[in-house]
Amino acid sequence: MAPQNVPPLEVPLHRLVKRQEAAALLAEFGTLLPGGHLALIGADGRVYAGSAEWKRAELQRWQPQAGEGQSTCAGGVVFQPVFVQSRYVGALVARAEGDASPGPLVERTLRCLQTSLTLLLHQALETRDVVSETLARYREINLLYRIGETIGHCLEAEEIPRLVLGEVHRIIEADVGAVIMLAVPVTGTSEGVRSIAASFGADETVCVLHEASRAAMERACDTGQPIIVDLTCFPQPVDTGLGTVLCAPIKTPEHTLGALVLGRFREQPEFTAGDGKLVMALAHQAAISLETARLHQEEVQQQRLAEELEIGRTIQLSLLPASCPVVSGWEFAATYRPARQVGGDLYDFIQLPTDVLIRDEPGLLGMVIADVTGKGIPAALFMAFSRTVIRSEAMNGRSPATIMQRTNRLIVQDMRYRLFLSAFYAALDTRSGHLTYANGGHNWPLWYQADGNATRWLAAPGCVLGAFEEVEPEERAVAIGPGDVLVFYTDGVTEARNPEGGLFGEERLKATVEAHADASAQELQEAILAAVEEFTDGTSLSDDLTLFVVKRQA
Amino acid sequence: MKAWNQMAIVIHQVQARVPVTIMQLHGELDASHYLDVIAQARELYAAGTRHLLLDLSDLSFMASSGLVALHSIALIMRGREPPDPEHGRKASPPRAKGVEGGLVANCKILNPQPPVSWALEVSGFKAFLEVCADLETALASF
Repeated sequence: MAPQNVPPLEVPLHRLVKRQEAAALLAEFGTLLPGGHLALIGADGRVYAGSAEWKRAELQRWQPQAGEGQSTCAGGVVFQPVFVQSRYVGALVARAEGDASPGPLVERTLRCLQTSLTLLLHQALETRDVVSETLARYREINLLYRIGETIGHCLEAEEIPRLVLGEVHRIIEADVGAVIMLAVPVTGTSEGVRSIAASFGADETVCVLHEASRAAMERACDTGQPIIVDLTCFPQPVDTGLGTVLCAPIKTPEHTLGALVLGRFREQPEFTAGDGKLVMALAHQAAISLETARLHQEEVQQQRLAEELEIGRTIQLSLLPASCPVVSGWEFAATYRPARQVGGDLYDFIQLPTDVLIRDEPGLLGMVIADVTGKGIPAALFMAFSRTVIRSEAMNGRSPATIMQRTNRLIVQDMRYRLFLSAFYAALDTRSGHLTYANGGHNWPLWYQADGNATRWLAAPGCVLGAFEEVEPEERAVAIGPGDVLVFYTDGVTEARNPEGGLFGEERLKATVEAHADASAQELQEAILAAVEEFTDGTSLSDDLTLFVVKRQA
Repeated sequence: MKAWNQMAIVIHQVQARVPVTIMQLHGELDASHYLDVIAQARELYAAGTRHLLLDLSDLSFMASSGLVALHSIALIMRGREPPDPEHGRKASPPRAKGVEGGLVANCKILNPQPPVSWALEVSGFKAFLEVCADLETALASF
């Protein structure tokens, strides 16, 4: 019944206008046709409203002509087609009383009725569109709410692609789908190593989808918008029957994480813009969830690291001397300032075996300062090991050079620790002031000589311990006179930085020592710390700072 | 990252008596970058570098972690896997034992600045890694 080449309306007439409304309208207009019959027929030829006396055979004789608003007359019946949005909906038909030919009155009446009915139908269509849109938004919101509940609480980055793809597959019909992730999030584009994090569909089809979507993924990631590609327009190395591909980027404002890709076979309807919009919403949720999972993972790692550092610090602090030696004629002061991370500094005082004990005071005192490369628990454990070895060798009466050599050998032979240790060991005869020392690659201690008011370094060639199979440190000896000061330190002192990046350095340390040479060991230590603090001007320490001062009283 | 501890690595290839790869380090080498330096050396060795010259002429500072990097690079150039600097646990016995009087033959250092030279001196690394004053001498030494 519908005109040729005129597509019928998608929604039947009875879904747009209630019969009662149409019948009321026809009844009112029908009063203008006394004795006439007026009816509204649908595009399927059935009488929708109005007089039921029309016979199907009569109605089927009429074929509406092209052109909206054109009424035709056939056999005393006037047909007025009704078009809505350029689509044929039905027709108004009228017959005059008796067999009289319908006159202009009938035609005008039908045209007025058609105008009113068309207006009614337009309003109904708009309402239907609004309802449809509202329903679609409701479904979308409901979906996103459910997605948020399902995926938003997931903190396992490996699970999120599977969850997202599962939800997409529930909502949007697709024959194959995949979540493609970049191995390392990149800024801006989709360059990078890609991998399939989740998929559905036949394996070979998924592979084809993965390759075929490469260009689409690049474009989608660049624009931040979903893209629909018709694969039938491009030659494919393997024909899997794929027709259209929908690709939505998974990206945060800073990084492209990957893409959500769906494919339909050729015989299936193409993806629509609405599909793209929905998939984009899911991809956006996936990006948020992945970013949240990443941040959570970082937080967990940082927490673990902080716990590890705390354990390392506890170990380290437990190995430092509880107090300085008390020896007549000598002053000792020591300090340890930890940086943000445990650095593995070590200092120790060892009462060495001697035949003579002077009032139960150490006649021969071993002094160690050391610095382990590395941080955290491994460095702390290595420090503990090294301290034990040095102590043991020292207590066995070894010379300083031998202690360094044997410590190095034991570290290398043990092979569990792959860290280095710089160490300086000195043995002090507290009666005579004779100092014997050897260096294992550590910062040379300062020696202020009261007699001559000169400062020099306790230089001794050596090598860090644990790096090389054999080391041959030189052993040297000096005489510490009355009023002399020794300053042992780690590079946390000399490599302390000011806000401009300058280093405190050996020369500033030397100048500070010379300026406070007459002070007590404790006062000198405090002066050095104050000088470092003043220099760094609030800049936090990047490495542990360890310092001890030995002064022979005048 | 504070402004002063930036570091850049520049690679050059030079044909001396043998092919020599020059790894220039610019800036400062500390705990922030030493792993990058080790990774770069590993890449070079995997790509076929067998003679490496570390140009430290533009390196203004080297922390103790820089020594770890040099040690690891020396091991890498000897075809051995260095220890994990961060965790320090590995079963392999890589130690850079020097040859010809203690020096590592195929990995050398070029023209370190005084602070870096001092660190190499004190740490004893000069006994194992030859330090050359100029490029010509360095290349001729391979």
